[in-house]
Amino acid sequence: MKIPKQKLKNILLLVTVFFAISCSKDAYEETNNSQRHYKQKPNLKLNFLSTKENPQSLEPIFRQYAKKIKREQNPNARGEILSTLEGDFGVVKLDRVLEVNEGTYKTESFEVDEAIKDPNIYYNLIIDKNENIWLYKIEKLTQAKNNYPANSELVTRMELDVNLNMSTPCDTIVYPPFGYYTPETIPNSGSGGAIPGGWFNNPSPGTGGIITGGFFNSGSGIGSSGSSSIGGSGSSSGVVELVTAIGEAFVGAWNWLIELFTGEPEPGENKPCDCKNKRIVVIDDVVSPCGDLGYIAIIAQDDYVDKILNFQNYFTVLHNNDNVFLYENHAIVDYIDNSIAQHPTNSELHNLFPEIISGVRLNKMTWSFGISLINYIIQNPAITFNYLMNNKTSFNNYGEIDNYNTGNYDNTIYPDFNALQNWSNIPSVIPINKFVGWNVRAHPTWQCMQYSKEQLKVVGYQISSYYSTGQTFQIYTTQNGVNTSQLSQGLSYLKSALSRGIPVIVGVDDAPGHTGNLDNTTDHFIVIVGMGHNTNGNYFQFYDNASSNASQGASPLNLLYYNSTTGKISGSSQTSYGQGQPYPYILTMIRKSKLL
Amino acid sequence: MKKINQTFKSLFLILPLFIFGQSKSDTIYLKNTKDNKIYFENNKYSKFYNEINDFTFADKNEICLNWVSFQKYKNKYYLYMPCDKGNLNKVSISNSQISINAMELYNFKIKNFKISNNYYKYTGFIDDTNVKMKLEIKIIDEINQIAVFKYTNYKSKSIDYRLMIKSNNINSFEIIINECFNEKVKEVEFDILDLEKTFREF
Repeated sequence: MKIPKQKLKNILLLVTVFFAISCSKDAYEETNNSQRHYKQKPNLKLNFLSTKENPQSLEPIFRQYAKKIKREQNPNARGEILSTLEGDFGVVKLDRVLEVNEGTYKTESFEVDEAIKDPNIYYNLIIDKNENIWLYKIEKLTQAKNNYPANSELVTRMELDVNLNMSTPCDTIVYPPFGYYTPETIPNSGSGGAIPGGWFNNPSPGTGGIITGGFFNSGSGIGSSGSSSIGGSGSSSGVVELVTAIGEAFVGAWNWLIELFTGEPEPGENKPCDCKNKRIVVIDDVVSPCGDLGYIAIIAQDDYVDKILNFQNYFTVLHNNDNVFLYENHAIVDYIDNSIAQHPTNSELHNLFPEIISGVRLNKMTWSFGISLINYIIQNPAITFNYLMNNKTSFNNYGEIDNYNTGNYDNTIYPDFNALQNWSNIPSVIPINKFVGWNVRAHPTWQCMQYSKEQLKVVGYQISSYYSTGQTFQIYTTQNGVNTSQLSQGLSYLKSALSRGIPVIVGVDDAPGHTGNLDNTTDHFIVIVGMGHNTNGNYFQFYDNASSNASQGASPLNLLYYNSTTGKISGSSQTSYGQGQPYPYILTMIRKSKLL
Repeated sequence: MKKINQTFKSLFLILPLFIFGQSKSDTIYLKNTKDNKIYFENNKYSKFYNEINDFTFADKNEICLNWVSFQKYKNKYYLYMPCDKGNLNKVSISNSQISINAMELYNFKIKNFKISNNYYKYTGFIDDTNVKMKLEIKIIDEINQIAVFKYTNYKSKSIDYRLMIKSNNINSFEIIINECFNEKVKEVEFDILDLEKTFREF
């Protein structure tokens, strides 16, 4: 059959168009900066769960896209507002936020739950300090691609403009994941060599500004965002904190590395690549798909760098959001650098440095102590750091740790109190609106004693040390029962304090065993705020921090009754905790208050 | 160069997720309500390991041997992150003092100590008082550095035993986490151990 020329022409045209469309480039291969809008729009839509904890973080989005947002009460989240932003970029669900607050840089990062899940891709939405909104795509390369080894992650950044259009993807970053330092040859580079480190891209200001934010994914690794309904916010926030902490730690280490190897040339040096230690070569412009500066490859030249890279392992176990010590204190860097240079890489020193850095950074030891530890190891090469940490040796230093504040005691002389005859009615000395209750989200490290201390603090008082002379009345222990002498003194003090408007921290026993308190009895601390009499007898009223709910924690029914026969002062708390304990609270110790 | 550093920061925020990510669907819960979750944590990079291993209260000018309270649940050893952090017992021992941190922090100034094989004995006084204390430690599991602590308080004439583990070995064990949010809740009930007997027999 003969195909007409015009028909053949049409078929060829269709085939050409088909191939032209189907052969779209990968994001990181996109090189045309003049192309302003991303053609491969992911099918995304934004849903913001506006929680009470982070309303401000969403404001830039609400402000910029006020007319495009639909709001509705979210039936699955208590009192939360589900705001939906539909753009031409498809469907995205956002329900968590990571805030990276770095001085003037404050960046919010939102987890994105893609409607069409790819196990190797997830998205994050970033609001940077200038309130620019970016969509980050993080893709795991399942096989080697171009110069990038398998398992690398590829990050693509796209800016969302006011019309919810997506800019040309740019500033891609590829880095072998932690633990995958696959040696590879860099093509077209002047120096070549193995790559134990990775590939980085220097984002160009002309193509989207500076990355100051971070990413997070609360699920089971790559591609699982949004799938972590089990486990709740507690565990996912843990991941966020972990990631933040590791990021903080790593950035310090890498800043240090960069400073160490690629800092400004010293006087007499010719150019930046004349690195300080000449152990590393930095190559600019290996590939430049998006920006002017392109990628930088860090090439290790000897095992010195390998040893330094091992610091990364150590940083993975660091935590908290302190400023990274390495970067802030170049004295340490210089010291370590010099010391390593003077000692073989198999020296114990190389195990010591990260330990010391960690110890100093986590405030476990002073830097001067760390230095003396290094010197001790140098002088005693047979002793390992591990041995030092696990055994007592002649290596010893001195010093004291912080103690309770001494002094400023309440020295008021008060009369003995006859509990059988002179019981008083003293209403609560702390108004209910000043009740301090349990709140782990606000105070993740607090325990009942700290809540009790805070309860005193809001009215201008603090607790005295347990063993400060005359400041504690240990009226009851499980081992020895009621101490009548201490009881008498304690009752007198309670009446005196309350009559002067002073609340008092007391310990209670509410279960067998104890938590490690020195009286071997106390399980919980509460605050005595008043006293009185009712048909059940003479009582002390208390605020119980075991609940966040003032109707329970500051209930007028939180009463400890004085049993004049047994000498015990005991009663029930209206908190769920108190109700669930094996037996009612028994007052164990009375701790005198003093002015702040 | 700053831009590179900032890029690194973002980059490093991502990477650990792929390496350390753990699906919460794997989590085994003993209790799972909106206000209280009790579960087993076996992710060794969990923040809770760091929290348990946080001895920032300890003597900063000495090498310290750090210990944390240890538990047995259904005949298996676990660390425990309680709802009330005051129930997490930490002890830091330097050459000059012992810091005991539970609901309150106490310092125990060492006057004498004796160390032999798996037995440690320290005597001294609490803070600046004349309250005499004795702490004896018997290592009952040398590989995992698990020990029984025996405290003798001469003032209150009380004796107390605690199961402890050296802090640098905690990553070998799972944590039972009792997460509470808006109220203090009952702590997990662990196996009751006869630590006095264990101490005596080792």
